Amino acid sequence: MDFLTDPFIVVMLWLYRLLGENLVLAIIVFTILSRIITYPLMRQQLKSSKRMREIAPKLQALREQYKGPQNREALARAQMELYRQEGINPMAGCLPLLIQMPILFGLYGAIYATLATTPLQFLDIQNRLLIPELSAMLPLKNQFLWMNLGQPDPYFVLPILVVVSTWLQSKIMTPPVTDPNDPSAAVSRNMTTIMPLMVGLFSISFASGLSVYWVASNIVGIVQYAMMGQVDWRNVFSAPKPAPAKAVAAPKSNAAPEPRRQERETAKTPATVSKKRKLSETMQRPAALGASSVSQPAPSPSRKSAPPKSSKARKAKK
Amino acid sequence: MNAHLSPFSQLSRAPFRAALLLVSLVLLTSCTALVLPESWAGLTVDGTLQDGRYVDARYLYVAYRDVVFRIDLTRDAAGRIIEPNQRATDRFVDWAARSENNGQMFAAPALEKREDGVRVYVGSYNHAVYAFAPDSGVRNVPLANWRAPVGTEKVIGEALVHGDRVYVGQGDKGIKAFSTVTGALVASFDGTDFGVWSAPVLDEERNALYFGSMDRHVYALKADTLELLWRVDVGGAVAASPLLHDGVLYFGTLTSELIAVDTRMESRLPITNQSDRILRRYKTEGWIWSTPTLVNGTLYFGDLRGYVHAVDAQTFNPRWKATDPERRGGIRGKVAVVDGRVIAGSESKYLRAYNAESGALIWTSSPAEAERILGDVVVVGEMVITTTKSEERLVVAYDLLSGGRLWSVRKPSQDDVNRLAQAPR
Repeated sequence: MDFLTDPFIVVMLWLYRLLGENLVLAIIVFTILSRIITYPLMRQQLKSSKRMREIAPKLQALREQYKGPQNREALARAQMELYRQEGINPMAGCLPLLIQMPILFGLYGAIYATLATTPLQFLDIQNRLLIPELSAMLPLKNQFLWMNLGQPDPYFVLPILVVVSTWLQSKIMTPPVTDPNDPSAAVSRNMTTIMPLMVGLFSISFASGLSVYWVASNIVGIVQYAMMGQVDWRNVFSAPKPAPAKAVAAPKSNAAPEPRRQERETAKTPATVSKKRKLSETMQRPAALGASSVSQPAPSPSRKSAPPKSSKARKAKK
Repeated sequence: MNAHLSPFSQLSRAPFRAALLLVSLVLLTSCTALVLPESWAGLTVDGTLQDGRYVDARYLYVAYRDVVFRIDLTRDAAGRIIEPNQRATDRFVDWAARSENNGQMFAAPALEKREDGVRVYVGSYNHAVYAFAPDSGVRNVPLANWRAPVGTEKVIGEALVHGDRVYVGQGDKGIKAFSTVTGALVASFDGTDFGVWSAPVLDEERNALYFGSMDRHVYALKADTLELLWRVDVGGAVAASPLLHDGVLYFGTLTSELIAVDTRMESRLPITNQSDRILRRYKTEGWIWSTPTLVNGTLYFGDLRGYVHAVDAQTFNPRWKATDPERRGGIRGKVAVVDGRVIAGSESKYLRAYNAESGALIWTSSPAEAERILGDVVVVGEMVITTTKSEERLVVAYDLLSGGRLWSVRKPSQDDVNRLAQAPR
């Protein structure tokens, strides 16, 4: 991993010198720079995710249509055909994430290495300085407020900030639930809760400089997401609630239609629900009631959703 | 082909991404992030140093992680007296103790000889200096009535015991003096910007205490009050103790320089940076993390790029430098110079002996098994002794003439510590 980390160590030390030997500032600027560099990848990833969400109803319809293990191959073929028709590469959402990983590793390793506070950590740095003159910078001044940035925060302020900012980011970036029966949706919801707690737990034992990185990274991520117009604050402040279903025609389906779930949910919807959401449900209800097929999840109600595509899907089937 | 399609269709789903993120997080944290209190074992010899060799030495004191222990050089692993022809016999650990609350101890133990036996002082990463009395009734824990709290930071450097005082540097900043009688704080100096990771040296004649700090300065304090006399910006962190000889301090820096500083001159500069005290500088290939050894006007030391240097102390002109290009490893510890041989331990797991006059390689030792050698090298009689990073062979002894391995001692376990506490004296 050194080949990933060592160039980042040089950048980190260079920033530290440039920013008046302020380690916290260096970590923050370092994080912002890395986020800017990986921004195109992140944008591509989000675009891909958005496209996948848009065709989610069609995928769901296919899954309903080809139920059972005996139809697995047929389902796969139909899904690939759908991707081809829509011009979507299903790998496109993950590749940018995979490409970002080495950068994340390098960044993280560099911050950890430069925060060295024990003799062995120091010994290791010496062989990793691509520019030997930078050793004059070491050790870095690691006192910030009440903290030694090379040690865990004794008052747990940073771990709490890590938990809050990670939760906020994952809440904002997690797409709304499109199908409450989809087990992956439940996993996704759980991860939104578990991940921040795990990161927070880790940060209790980590050098607090790494927690500074996590917090800065989360905040920059939220800002970037907002700049792309993807943030829906209601997703943060409202309790997780499945979006109303939308019908998509699937004529060959053998499955029994789900009995008016949307109506039940509409009845359960509190009066505080947004106008936009109500509008979305109103638009979808006739299709759901009138369809002889299964009900389908809708795209996020928070977004400017496209009109129901059931007719288009029907055409495609024909 | 179709069998491959289904997983593709799942790839972009949230659980996959969440799992990927989780795995990455675990990998990141397991590889790097925990703040592990790590260093190498500290080693102290109970004997008299003559011409680079300890004579009349019976015990070795070693601190590593949560244990400090003593090796009896005169007895074998079973406790029997060793005959002269049994040099290659594993040695007996006759005392071991643990720190409080699992506090990590890596500094070489400092010894104080008393009428009732030896007392051992070791700084801990647990923000305290502990005192142990191996020859008393309390054998496997620190003395309850002597505990010197250092502050909120770890103690990395070894302590210096002089008279009724124990001087010890703090991992974050400053240096403190404690009473050997009560453990009470006697004097304190907090004027460094970063930690003091090595023992200070005392100039009794001038009542001065000298030490290097990781804040890139060398300091001189009044030994009794710890008031600042002067300091010098040397441009790089000083991790090891300086060598004081004829009023000149010799020390290495983490900017790869050997520096000589005059302690006796009258400087006209402010005491906060008397840079005119710097006499000479000598550039090396790698960082210097050890105290140089002075023999016959030549300074011998190693650097972390694996070179051993011999430099004229008066002029800093190089006499020779040597390395083993095939098995190069950083030389962290202090080198020993005995009988015209310079012996250095390296991170490449080997000890090497060089001719002190020419730098020619005399022997390369058997490898110290699995782990690198980071400790100082000492010579006791005809044995070269050092410490490694392997708990199974923590202390290793070699033959001075051939470099062949003689014996090793592992780190005592918790059971060993308890057993030794119960063992009859």
